This record gives sequence, structure tokens and C-alpha cells, in this order.
Amino acid sequence: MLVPKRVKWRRPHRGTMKGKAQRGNTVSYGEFGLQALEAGWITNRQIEAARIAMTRYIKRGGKVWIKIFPDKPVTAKPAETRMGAGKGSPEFWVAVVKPGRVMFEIAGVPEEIAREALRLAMHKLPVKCKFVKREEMGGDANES
Amino acid sequence: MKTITLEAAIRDISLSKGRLNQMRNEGNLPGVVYGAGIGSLPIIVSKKELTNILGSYGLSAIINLRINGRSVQAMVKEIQRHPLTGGYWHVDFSEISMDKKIRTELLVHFSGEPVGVKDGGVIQYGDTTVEIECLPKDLPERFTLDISNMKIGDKLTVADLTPPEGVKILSEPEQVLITVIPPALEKEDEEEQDKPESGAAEG
Repeated sequence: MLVPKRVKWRRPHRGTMKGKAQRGNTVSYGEFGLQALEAGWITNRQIEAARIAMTRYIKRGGKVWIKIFPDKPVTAKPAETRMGAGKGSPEFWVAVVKPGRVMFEIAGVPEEIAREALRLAMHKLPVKCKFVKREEMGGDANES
Repeated sequence: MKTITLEAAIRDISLSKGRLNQMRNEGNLPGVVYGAGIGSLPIIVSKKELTNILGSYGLSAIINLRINGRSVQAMVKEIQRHPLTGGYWHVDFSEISMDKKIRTELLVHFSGEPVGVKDGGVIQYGDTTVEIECLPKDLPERFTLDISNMKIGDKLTVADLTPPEGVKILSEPEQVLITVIPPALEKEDEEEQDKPESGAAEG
């Protein structure tokens, strides 16, 4: 699973998720992609589940790119603990995703297979997504 | 190189964001045209007409902008898109002079299916835009590269492009345009999942 090797701070603030993705909002390496339509935290487990769903469906051939990285630790306090006594310990890692972000890309498979693989991946994620194509391949605003 | 006429109207710069969005919904596109002769003029153009022009002639089209009866020869300098919908959001036109060299970016188109893809390889795109310098009359519509002979592991760079006469390529010759990479091997997913999660160290 994706985990940073080293972080500067182990217990950061939660932060906000304002605005839209100003970068990483196009299909840049592959031919098809999965674009987030809402903001959210994607955990490393969800990224891994989506990756497995895609790679199992496309079997051999094709290539998958993961364009998000869970670099933000999220802390939690143990169950049935009284409040206070400091911040909890890091429990899992998340990638902060804003609307418009292309999270996964696929190349080397026909469009129908890419659509289905990304649809399966979509169901593993906590945000609404849509299938997008590379711009030169006729991808634009009105993809489903 | 094609010259096309596009009607434009001067836009009031004091319009609010809401009013601009309303204009976008009505099928218009806010933009700006600038150059040595005209300074900077905020304009509004028809989104449908501009989309048709760019669809037919590409970003290298020389557009004859008719702004309230005045004619300005211009090229699209930059197009901003909406991050979510991908629709055009704002357009920058740059005035050009037919006897002065211009710098612009051209998209490289690829033709054919590589041999390596038939053998199971996968196409990986690099940066497919190339910066060029030329006179407006020499501006090609696009660069086309034949990729049908590419095998697995082959890559094409800017150095493989042959520019037409009068066109100088400014991008680095080493810039990779396209690569055919070997197919990814199926990994044992379960094996990876069972690995214990190691936390990151504070540093």
C-alpha cells in the first residue's frame, strides 16, 4: 500500500478542501482517465482497492497510472477514551482530492475495457467520478 | 496556414463574475486580445464559432478578428479550460504581424499503430507540444509523426521531427514525445496486500 517514506510532521491539521483542481486535471500519460467530481480524502486502502479492481479486469497488457499519493496522515483516538490527553496517533494515510483531479489513467486497452475497469475502480472510491479521454482522442467536457 | 474571420465585441471589464458566467452559459466566451498596435482589449467571442475554427484548423490558425468593425490579425495564445467540464473558459489572442517571426506551440499528432503495440506493448505519451518559431505564413497546421515502425522500448523525441522550411524548433531535441513501453506484468495482488503497513518516520 502507498505510504510516504518520511514526513515532516506526523500529526498535521485536517485542512480544507476548497476550490477545484488547478493542476493534474487532464489525462497526461495514458489514453483514458478517472476524474473526481467532488472533493474528498482518498485513503491508501481505497487507492489500492481501485488499483486491484482495474488491474484484475484488464488482466495482462495495458498500463495503469496512479496520479494521487496519500501523503497526509490522519489521526484517531482509541475507542472509549476520554477527551483530552493530546492528539491521537496516526491511523491511516489519505490523498486530498479536489474536483477535477484525474486520479487514475489507463493506456494500452480498448475503450470499452478501459471504461469498465475505471467503472469498477469508481465503486471503490468515496467521491463521484467520471470517465475522461485524452484531449487528442476527442476527450472533452461532455464525457459521461 | 489558414486565415479565418471571427466576429468579436468589446467587453466591459467591470462585469462581475456572475455576469461573465451568464454570458458563458449563453454561448459566449470572454477573452482578451493584445499586441503592440492595440494594447490590451477585453473582448467576447462566440464559443461555437471559436470551437469550430479550432476544431478545423487547430491552434495555429491565423484569425482575422473583427472587433466592432476593426480588423486585427491574431493567433490564439492561450486557452483556459474549466477544470471539471473541460469546456473553454477564457481565450487569449495575440496580435501578429505577417513579417515578424512568431513563437508558438504546436501539438504533435501520431499516425499509424506501432509494431510494438501489436506485440503487447503500451504507448506512453510524453510532452506532445513543441515550441516553434517562424513567420506566420510558414506556420504548419500540425506536426505528424508516423509511429507504425516503433517497437517495444523505442521512443521518439523532438529530434525525430522534420520541420518544414522556414520553421525552427525551439524545444529541446531530447524531449520525449512518445514511448512504447513493455506490458506491465500481472502482479500477485494478494501478496502485496498481506504486507504489514509500515508507517512513515518523522523527519
